[in-house]
Amino acid sequence: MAADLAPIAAVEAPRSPWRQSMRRFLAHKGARIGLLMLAAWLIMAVGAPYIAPYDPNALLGKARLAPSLANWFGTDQLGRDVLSRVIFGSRISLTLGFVSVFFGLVPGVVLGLAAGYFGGWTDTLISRFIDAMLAFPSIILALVIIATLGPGIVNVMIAVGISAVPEYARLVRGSVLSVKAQPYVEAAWLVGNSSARIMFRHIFANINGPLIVFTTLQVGNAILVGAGLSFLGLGAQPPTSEWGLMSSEGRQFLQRAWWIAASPGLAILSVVVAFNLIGDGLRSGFDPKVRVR
Amino acid sequence: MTDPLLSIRNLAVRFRGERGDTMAVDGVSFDLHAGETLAIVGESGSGKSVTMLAVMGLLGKAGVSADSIFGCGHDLLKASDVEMRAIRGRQIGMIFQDPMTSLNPVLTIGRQLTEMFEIHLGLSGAASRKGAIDLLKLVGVPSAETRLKDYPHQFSGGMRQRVMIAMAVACKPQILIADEPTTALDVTIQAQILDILSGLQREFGMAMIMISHDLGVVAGIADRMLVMHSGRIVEQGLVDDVFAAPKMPYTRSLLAAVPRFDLETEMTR
Repeated sequence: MAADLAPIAAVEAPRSPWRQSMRRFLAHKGARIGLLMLAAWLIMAVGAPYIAPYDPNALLGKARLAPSLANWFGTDQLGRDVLSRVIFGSRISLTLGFVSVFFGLVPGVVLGLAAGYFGGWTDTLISRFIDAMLAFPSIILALVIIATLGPGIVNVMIAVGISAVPEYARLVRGSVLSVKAQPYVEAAWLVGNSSARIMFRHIFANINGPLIVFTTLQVGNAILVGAGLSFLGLGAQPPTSEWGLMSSEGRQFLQRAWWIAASPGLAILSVVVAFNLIGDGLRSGFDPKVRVR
Repeated sequence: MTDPLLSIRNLAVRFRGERGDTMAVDGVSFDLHAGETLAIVGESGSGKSVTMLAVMGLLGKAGVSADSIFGCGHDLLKASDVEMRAIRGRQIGMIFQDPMTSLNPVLTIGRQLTEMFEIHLGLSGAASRKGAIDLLKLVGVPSAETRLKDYPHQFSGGMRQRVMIAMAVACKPQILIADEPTTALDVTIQAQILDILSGLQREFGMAMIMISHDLGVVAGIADRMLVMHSGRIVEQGLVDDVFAAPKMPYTRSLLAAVPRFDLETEMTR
């Protein structure tokens, strides 16, 4: 009888591999904490003029005031409010993280795709170049580029970005090699796709998982290297409120006024931890072999 | 008789290895005429697939040599990369052995089907979508409209092979190469897929090359057959003639390896 029949179960909506990964990502506890931390920093960066209690460059009179209710993170060696400077510093650090990753990602992906896809002498040429660049630690590489371009925050972004190119290229090349051997790539070729279309549409779509994970981790790393360069005096110049520079300036007062160096240091730590947590979450999202706890 | 659609003379494929070169295909020559079905049979590693991959240009120019390869009015030996891309998929379609791995797992079926129209016919948007729906209906995929948004993992093996066939015939090619299209499927699905293939062949007037090691499939679908062994063609002729009176010992042993119900054997007696 028709009435006795259970209604036909609705066909499950097609779920793309991308959406499945995002679901696993959001189920990851660490990733959620990381996202919250990052969201807090983003709000602070965007709303800095409204959130910061003082102008970051205003001299409040008394230098090296210990943390108090009026100045939560104290004041620095010139009497500026450390909390306000940390909040404004998030603008530079986050911008540096995202922009420099872009400078590394785009050339790295193109080089890696070309090396992995074309093979032969193209691969040899690019791979040897990558190996040569990988021989230097990224901060040394960034130092060399800064030495060439001159100090300044924009040059730091370029330097930090370019110093990450070999790592992107190596990751992409390896992923391309594994995907290239798949029958669907051969099939895509045999139905008349061009090399560019195969590379960017068929192969790239299959390797973006590991790439997204690496890029996220790289944002944290870029912020760290960028702050390091400013600490060495090669990035942001005074009186900019930049975390690396602030740590550097507070360094000589570490024994008497620890908060000047420690506050921006903690800020760097929390942002880098946030990106690492998100990266871990993404890794478990894109790699089904990692179980979500 | 009209000129053949595909004409291969003295094709040789050499693979370079650490212990010297291997001749995967050695002196293969044959013709394929419009509308006919040619089966290439032989054991694994006999050079069946490599022959067709060489014709499609997948193996590159190195290691492949031939006196001539003419296909659909083009000299395939001299064709540039751009010309070959226009021939592949447009004039020569190909179906692969394993439908489970021949579709891109991160692109929807619709996107992979409409791509054929984009590349070869310059269609996009609603026109290519409609073409894709028509194709899926043609190969018997139910509720084609909704399934366009599905990913390959949401299809069964038989359904995926139908999608592969739809992609291969999307641009109504003159030649369809089917590389063991039913090997990865179970027997009932095999029969359906073969039905679809011969139906499409009649409808579009395609010539078909069926690569197979399944002599049952060959007997059912092909007009002529080539028997390959160690990279060479050891026997060729009309399917009925070869089955009735195989000339070469290798062909005889191939035929003897297939269980037949019309002959009484030691086991059944």
